[in-house]
Amino acid sequence: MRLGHGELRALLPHRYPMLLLDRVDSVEPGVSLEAVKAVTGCEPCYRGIAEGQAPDRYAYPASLLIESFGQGAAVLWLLSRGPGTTGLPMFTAARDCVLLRPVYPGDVIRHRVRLEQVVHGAAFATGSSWVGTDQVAEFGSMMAVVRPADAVAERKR
Amino acid sequence: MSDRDQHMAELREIVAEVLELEPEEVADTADFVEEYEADSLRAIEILARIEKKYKVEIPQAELNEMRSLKAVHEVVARHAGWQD
Amino acid sequence: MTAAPAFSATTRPVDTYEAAAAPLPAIEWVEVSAGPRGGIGLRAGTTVDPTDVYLAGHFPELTVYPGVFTLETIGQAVTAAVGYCAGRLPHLHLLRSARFLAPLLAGDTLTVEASVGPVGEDQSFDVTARCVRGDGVHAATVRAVYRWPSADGGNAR
Repeated sequence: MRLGHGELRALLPHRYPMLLLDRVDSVEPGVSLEAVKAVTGCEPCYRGIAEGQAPDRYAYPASLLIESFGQGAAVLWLLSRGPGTTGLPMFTAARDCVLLRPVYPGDVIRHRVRLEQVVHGAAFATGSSWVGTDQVAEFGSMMAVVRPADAVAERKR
Repeated sequence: MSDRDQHMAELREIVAEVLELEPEEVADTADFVEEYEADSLRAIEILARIEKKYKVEIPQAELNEMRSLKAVHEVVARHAGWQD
Repeated sequence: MTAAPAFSATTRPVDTYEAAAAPLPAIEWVEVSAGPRGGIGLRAGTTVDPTDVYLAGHFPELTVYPGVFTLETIGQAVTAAVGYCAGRLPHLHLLRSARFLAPLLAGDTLTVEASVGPVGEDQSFDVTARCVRGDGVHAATVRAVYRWPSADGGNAR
């Protein structure tokens, strides 16, 4: 199964510029998925860099790389939950994630995500991210929950 | 090592890893929340690891019971059919 | 192997944002104090701005500061506090654990309190951060290793 950008928009509540997946190339719902994210210099994270910075300053932010992988995990999980499930997938915990080398505009990131476990409304995913044959990140464990939007908005004491 | 000792050692390791402690820091009856600042995410993580390791399903209602290593052992023993 | 670098003077938050790709200016202020064994303590804060370009997409119907932006806030605070090493900024290398416990919504303030360092011989240092929301609720805990990448631009081990 392959998912285009429109199908990702239908699954995820994230929108531009925070929808950080372009396409899903293959997915076995509830088991594993391979997702693609192309990094471009047009992304707003490059708008604020001062002129004349060194090349290494154009590394794609780790926060967005982790979010992009997490969205792959969310898609994998949401597909296995079936239709009619709504809410905001919230990234709640991570363990042992290693960033191995920087990613630059022009790179195409491939996330390989495996869904390890779904327990009591929480999903645990693991996997890695690649640019070509170079591994750029390893994700030991990422945990997410889905919360109804009104429950998130409600201020708890 | 008796079954009980073996299970307690395994559970202590799981709890220590999730709470980011050394196994010897996890006392049998210490309250996770009061002693180790555990929270609901930690509780679900402990539960998830136990379900995976022992291939057992534990009802969510038991989460509130699982507040110490000893209590965790009792809950898991009940659902996994341990004769500890 | 050269001696482990010491932490240098702080830079202004705006300089940190302009120095490298970043999804948003993620700190408004930073305070640095001396820590044990040559390490430092830092405090930093920000306010969730729903008009931020990335936050407009996370999510359109409800602004929620993503967990990865809490990582971004910590990263920018660390960068501002520890400064450059041989012209390079510190990168997130290993996320040992992160937990996001309470949502941060539009207008919420986030305060980071972190212990940083000391610096190891491989130019890496530990960061342990506790994040608190404006109403005093514990919002996140993060344990990570940052490092100044080697001169070849890689971030490899």
